[in-house]
Amino acid sequence: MNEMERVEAVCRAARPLDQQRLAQVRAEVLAAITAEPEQRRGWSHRLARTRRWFTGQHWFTGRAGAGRRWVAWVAPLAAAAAVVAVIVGVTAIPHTAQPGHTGGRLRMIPAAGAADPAVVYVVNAASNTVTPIQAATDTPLKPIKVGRSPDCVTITPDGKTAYVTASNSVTPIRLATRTALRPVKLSPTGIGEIAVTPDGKTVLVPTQNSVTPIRTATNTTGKPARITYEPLKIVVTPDSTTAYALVATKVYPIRLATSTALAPIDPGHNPTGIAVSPDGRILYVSYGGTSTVVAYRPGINLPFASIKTGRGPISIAFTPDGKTAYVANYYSGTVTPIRTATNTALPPIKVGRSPIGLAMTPDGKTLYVSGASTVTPISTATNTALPPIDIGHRPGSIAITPDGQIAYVIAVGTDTVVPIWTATNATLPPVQVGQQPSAIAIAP
Amino acid sequence: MKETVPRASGGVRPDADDDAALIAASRRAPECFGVLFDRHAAAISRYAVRRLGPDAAEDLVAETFLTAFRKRSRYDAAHLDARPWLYGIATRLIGQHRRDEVRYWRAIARTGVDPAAEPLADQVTDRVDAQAAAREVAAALAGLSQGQRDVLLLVASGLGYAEVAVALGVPAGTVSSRLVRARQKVRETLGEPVPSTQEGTAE
Repeated sequence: MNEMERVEAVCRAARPLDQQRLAQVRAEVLAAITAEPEQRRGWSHRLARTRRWFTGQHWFTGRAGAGRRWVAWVAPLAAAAAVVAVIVGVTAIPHTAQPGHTGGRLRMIPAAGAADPAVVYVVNAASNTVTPIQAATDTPLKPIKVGRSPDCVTITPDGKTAYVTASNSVTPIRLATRTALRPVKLSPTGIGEIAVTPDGKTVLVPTQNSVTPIRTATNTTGKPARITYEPLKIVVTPDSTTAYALVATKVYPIRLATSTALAPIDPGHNPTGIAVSPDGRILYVSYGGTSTVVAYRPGINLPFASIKTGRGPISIAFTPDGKTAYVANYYSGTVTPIRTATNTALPPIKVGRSPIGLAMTPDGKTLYVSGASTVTPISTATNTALPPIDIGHRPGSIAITPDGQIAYVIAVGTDTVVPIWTATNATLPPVQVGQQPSAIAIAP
Repeated sequence: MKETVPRASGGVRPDADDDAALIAASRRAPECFGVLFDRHAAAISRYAVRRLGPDAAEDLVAETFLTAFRKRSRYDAAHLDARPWLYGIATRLIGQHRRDEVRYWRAIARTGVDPAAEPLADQVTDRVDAQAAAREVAAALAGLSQGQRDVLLLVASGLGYAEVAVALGVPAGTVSSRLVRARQKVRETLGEPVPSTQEGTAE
């Protein structure tokens, strides 16, 4: 197939609205035009929902029926990656709030009166800024200017620097002063997600048909590792020796010392999700085509187990102890737990429609799953879903504070993030950020 | 493969089926617009679903036909087929949400999930390769300019060059030059499998 035929095939694959929905739209259109025969009074009587669509910029959330807000333009794993943070030693003072309380901020206070240092960084795609939020008080701080159409963020493990991809640059942000440093000129694809090695020495940027390293010591680029096709997701082994770059049809190991891509490891169709276990002994890759997760041994890069999941496996998260991995199945609306010792699937957990984003609390006790309309917490002790959390809009990426107390969820279509208090799973008042928040990460 | 825009010339009778007559009638009888809706809404909805996703499509289809109704007095009755006109209106409305569209294509590329083609329970296996292909194309489409994406997706949706020119209100020459550039860019992004550094054993 040439490129035109492929684009045509993608157009043909789109399904028109079904008769029922079309009939509904037809009725609304006719009601609007017959109510306003000569448009003398302007279009003030236009049907409410299209007026909202037309005048309000947040048309995706202007609809009744939250279950239909499910367009999947989430960057799910950016948040999930940011969430793999180590819990810090914090002595908790029991709070007194009631479940469901959403008024004032009542949080556990860190011991010794120390201020909670966690700061949430939200990338605003349409404002070309990053908004820091003081996590202790949910106060938005002064926005930091970054490149055009920023898209993705990662924070070095030492918590000193954030890297934000934009259309023609990567901007490092010194977190101590929350100031942008000189942008690193290169062209991230905007398609793939940025990653940082666990040793903090290298940031890996998805660039055209390559993965380009940035040395964090000098903020200079190194030799790009050439692969065929655009990298979509990048994960790094805990020893920082090898990265795995997922493209639309393959997974490439990249030897980081020499920045060279090795032969792709897998024969599978449509790899979608990828994750390395905390001990670095298992690499899981999910395949949308076969509804499986295949386990590879990093270093040897050979498959050794195949695990059946639900339909449309899309993202994977390990518990911090590495004993269990969770796979979100987009089309089944379930999450499949995998016992990593035996590579066996446990019974799937029913969550809301179209689960996509996964975020684990640092203690590994709760997994937050963002779906089409709700965030569903899963208790990892019992592998059961807790009552879903309605944040009022379609949830996007999730990031959880290092103390595990608050999960911040992007409310897609609004200019806010919604904090969820993990102790009760109650939502707190939304925090105003810039326009079109697209990615979120938290620095300890 | 594509027909040109049918035009009313001397001998052609404007039979009741042509859109131009319908639109003219709707000036006095707005309910005639319902027939126009029935003829074209499914196609417009597919186009909307493709470019902005299933949820946004409902609103976009409604707004397209409302805008068309409001502008019906300016419709050029020489064009018997209203399709290019309606596609043009939809395209301009989509253009107001450029960032949303780009993010939508990016998300398809990243996740491998194409919500516009979400499989029914029994269609999963048929769609496997389509999904993988959609990711690569989505990545390429995200990198185009809005004008290039407009032309490419209108042509890929089955409009002829002349119809695209009518839809976008640009000369046919502009359509073909934009299409050439768009195709070239997509071809480069999709790429042939470059035999790159696959030194699996080299040290």
